[in-house]
Amino acid sequence: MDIIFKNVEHIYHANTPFSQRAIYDIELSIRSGAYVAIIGHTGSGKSTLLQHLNGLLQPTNGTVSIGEYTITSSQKPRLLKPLRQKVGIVFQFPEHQLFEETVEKDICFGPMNFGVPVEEAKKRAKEVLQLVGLPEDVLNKSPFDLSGGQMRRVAIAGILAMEPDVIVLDEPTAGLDPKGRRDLMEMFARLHRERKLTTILVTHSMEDAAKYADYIVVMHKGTVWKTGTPQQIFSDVDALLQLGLDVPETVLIKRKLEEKIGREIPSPCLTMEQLTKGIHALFARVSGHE
Amino acid sequence: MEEVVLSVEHLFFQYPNQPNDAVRNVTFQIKKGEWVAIVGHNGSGKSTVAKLLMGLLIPKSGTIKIFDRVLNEETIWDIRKRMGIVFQNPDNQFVGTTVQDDVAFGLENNGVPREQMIDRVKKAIQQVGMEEFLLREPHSLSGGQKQRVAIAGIIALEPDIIILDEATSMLDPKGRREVIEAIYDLKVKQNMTVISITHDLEEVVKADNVIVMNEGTVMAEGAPMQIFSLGKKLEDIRLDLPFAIKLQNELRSMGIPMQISDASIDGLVNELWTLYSKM
Repeated sequence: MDIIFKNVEHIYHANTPFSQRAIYDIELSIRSGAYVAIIGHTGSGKSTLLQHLNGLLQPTNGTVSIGEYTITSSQKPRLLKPLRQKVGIVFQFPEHQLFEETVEKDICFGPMNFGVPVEEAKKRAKEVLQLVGLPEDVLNKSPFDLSGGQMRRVAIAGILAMEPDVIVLDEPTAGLDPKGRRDLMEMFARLHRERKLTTILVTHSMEDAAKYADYIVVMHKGTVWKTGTPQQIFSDVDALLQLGLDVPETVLIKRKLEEKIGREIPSPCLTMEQLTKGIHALFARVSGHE
Repeated sequence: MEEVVLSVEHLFFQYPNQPNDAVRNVTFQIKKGEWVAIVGHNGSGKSTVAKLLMGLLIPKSGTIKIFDRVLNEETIWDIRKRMGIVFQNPDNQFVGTTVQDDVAFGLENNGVPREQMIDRVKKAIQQVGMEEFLLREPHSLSGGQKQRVAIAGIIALEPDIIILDEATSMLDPKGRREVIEAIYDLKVKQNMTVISITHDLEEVVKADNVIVMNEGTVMAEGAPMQIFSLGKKLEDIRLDLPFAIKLQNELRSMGIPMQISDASIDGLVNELWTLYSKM
């Protein structure tokens, strides 16, 4: 399912005194199977953008096409229901949406809403539970007896059980401790690899964007400022800092060090490993000369 | 920094229907004007401690003394007036129809005269960098902006102790820094005592004292660099070292003689530069 935004605009409370243009002139294409990170300052329009991906919001102008679906301002919302099975959105703090008596019922809720028979839904619940790394015995527990990290996994399992082609993650690791954060990001990377899930990650973590995405979209003040590979995006450090965005710490250190010693480190330094190698090479070269 | 404003002694707490204590024999002291970070992974008991300090939970045994008064049902209301709490998710705390009304709410409740109120509201909103949004509806703001408004609402009340219960965990890195700077400013200029509950060790760098919680107990206590020297032990309890420290550890293992005495990126770069120039 390729996703294409053409000239998309969204105005909240259009035609009222409270009207507010959240996004405009959005041109974007995401090919099927990609892992795309959307970055941007708080209030840059990321959340508004992502709600267009399954028709929760319709553009006030322009078109969004997702596979065979086309969403415009005049589309009847009712016709968008099948799309929501194809595109699963994991909102911030998805565990707040858990409500059923047992984990199994909660996971089955989504698929059954789309007409999946109960037996099939239960089968899927078992499968997805394994995908998110939870033991089968939690199926009969109340989701509210689980830890925060486990609850979040259950909520994500509920999305995966609908077998979407696209998964949209809005700050999926917010509020988790460092270990929980790493585990969850690795899980999404695995799902992307193994299930060929088109993955769209909205994040403030430049490190995660650099590490996991093959393509980055930078949003600024409601529109797309730049798109490119992590290497392309993070090569222009000044521009990003001017937008009030961060760059990965490795990139920042590389640059500060280059400025100090007046020599270039010939590596993009997007990961800790690349950076330590780069610094090591720098030192080795100097000591080799003497 | 001498006066003890908060002390906790042999604190125990158990949630109903749970086999084990969530907080076990926790003892620590916090002095006036100190910034104390309580860190620990999800479920380590740190948020339970925060709730106990606020009187939202009642301990099974042990005492909490705040401003030399034992926290109990009689003193709680007086004590709370001098404490401000910023929660993780501000969404449920909004009452005002505009940003400035919302920040004014607490002051109105406390009967602050209008002239003073106008000034304090303005100042608080400036401190969190939200002055462009005075008349905006809080609900139309993004998550990070909302949190800054919630923090403004607390600092407008000028409390003696401010507790941040993972208050920056939903902010973007820049917003996080701004909020931390704003609170640091308050601490320095007004000698405010700050207790920050977090699992972000980057946020801990500025603290005077760090209390590490694990499985309901205090695992370690000390200055940030002392805590960072625990290294892998922190990773074992699901925490993560600040990036600059991790990098220095890595470089040292590759034979570059880093001192590991500074958790900041600038400090790290300076040290590398010095080493490089000497070669």
